[in-house]
Amino acid sequence: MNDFPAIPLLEHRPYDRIRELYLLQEPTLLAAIRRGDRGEARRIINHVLVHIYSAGEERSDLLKGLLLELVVMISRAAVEAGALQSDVLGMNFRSLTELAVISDDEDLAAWLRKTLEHVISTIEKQKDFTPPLLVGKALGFMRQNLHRDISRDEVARHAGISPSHFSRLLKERTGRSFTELLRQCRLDMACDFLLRTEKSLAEIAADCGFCDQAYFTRVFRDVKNVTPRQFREANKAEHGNTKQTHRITRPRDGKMAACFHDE
Amino acid sequence: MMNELHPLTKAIIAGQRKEIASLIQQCLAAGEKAGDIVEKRLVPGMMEVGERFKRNEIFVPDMLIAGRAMKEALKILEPLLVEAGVKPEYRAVIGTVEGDLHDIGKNLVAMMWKGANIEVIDLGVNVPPAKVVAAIQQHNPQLVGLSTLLTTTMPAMRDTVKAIRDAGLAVKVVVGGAPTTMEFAKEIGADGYSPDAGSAVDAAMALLQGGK
Repeated sequence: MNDFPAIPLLEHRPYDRIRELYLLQEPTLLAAIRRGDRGEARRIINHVLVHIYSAGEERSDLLKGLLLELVVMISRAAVEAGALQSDVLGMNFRSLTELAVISDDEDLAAWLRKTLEHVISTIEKQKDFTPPLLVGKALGFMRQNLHRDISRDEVARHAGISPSHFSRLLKERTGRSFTELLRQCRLDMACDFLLRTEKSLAEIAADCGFCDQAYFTRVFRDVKNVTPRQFREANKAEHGNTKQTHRITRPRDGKMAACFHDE
Repeated sequence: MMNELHPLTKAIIAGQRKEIASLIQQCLAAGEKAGDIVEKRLVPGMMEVGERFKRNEIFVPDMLIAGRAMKEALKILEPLLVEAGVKPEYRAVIGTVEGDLHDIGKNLVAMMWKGANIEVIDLGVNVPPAKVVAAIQQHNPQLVGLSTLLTTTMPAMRDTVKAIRDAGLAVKVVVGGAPTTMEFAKEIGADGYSPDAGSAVDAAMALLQGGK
């Protein structure tokens, strides 16, 4: 916070330096906004504003240009952080038109206040937004590790988010709790194995992370209303018609791979 | 805020420079003395602005326009204050250290100090240590404010404090600006430290009132 190593290098290029300074602060700024700490966000922005106002004080066109650039940079960060482009960009167009006709310090201060608070709000609104990537990553990890006992905490840790945030996120994105989702994943894989492999029920139970065949059968019946064996019999016929059967094997690295074998 | 603020105080806080002249005329017409207007109408306004800035509730330009409104008010009242023989209790010399051309932080502090009824002699930007020493000898202030925004000019701040000490001047030195820290301030022998313009009044008052 107190050290900006880029500054001396850019000393003779004052506007690059302001940009650089902002970009150095951007992660901290976004983190502050995300945790709802608007005060800290303003403090960071103010730090950049001191530089902007020092550079542009005597020239209102320059000052307006630098302020606009700051707003655009924060808006870009807002979109990257998941804010709706329509929200952010719509606001920017409006702001641009307004800024063009401002000729007074008081109006400029008011414009900046309004615009910055709006951009902060668009990011705040997305506070719970986490890129689908994160949930995808978590689900991928779960699927690769279905054969063993995995906990919510472990998956959350793997995705790099807190367990409670992870739970909330899953609920929002999938409508299910971690336990429900994990069971669903186990059963989906079991169904795959039942139809596409010749593995025994005991093997499938173990591969899909059920402690034993009896428990596997019980859970399966509870959800699907048929036993695994019945499921295999009833559905195998259709699959049997195809010229190929593809078997799913799990290589040593734990990744699922669909392998096609000619009969 | 417990009480409804006076319109002049409100105008200072909102930075409504154009409203200032007529509001001051209203106060004067109501029989208020110039010194009282400064103390009871203007100073509380700037204090509030400083507080809001310190609490990170407002942006830099909000503070700048408040400072300009304050300046406008003092411009109108100054002749009356001189006439009435009212003088600020304290005097300060302020400037950015040699090599630093950023004056916004320094200007904000100058505004806040003026707002706290301290007479401020502004030496501007890029002030060499010798010039600071000369200004102290000339104006005889109780307080010196040194500002820097760049890490590269921090050594100049150290040199300036040293020059003041070497000259044997009995003056309190407050340093501040983005790269400075409390540790740095202590290390270079400053008396006070203010991380931002909002805290500058607190730092000054602690030294002026506590350090006698």
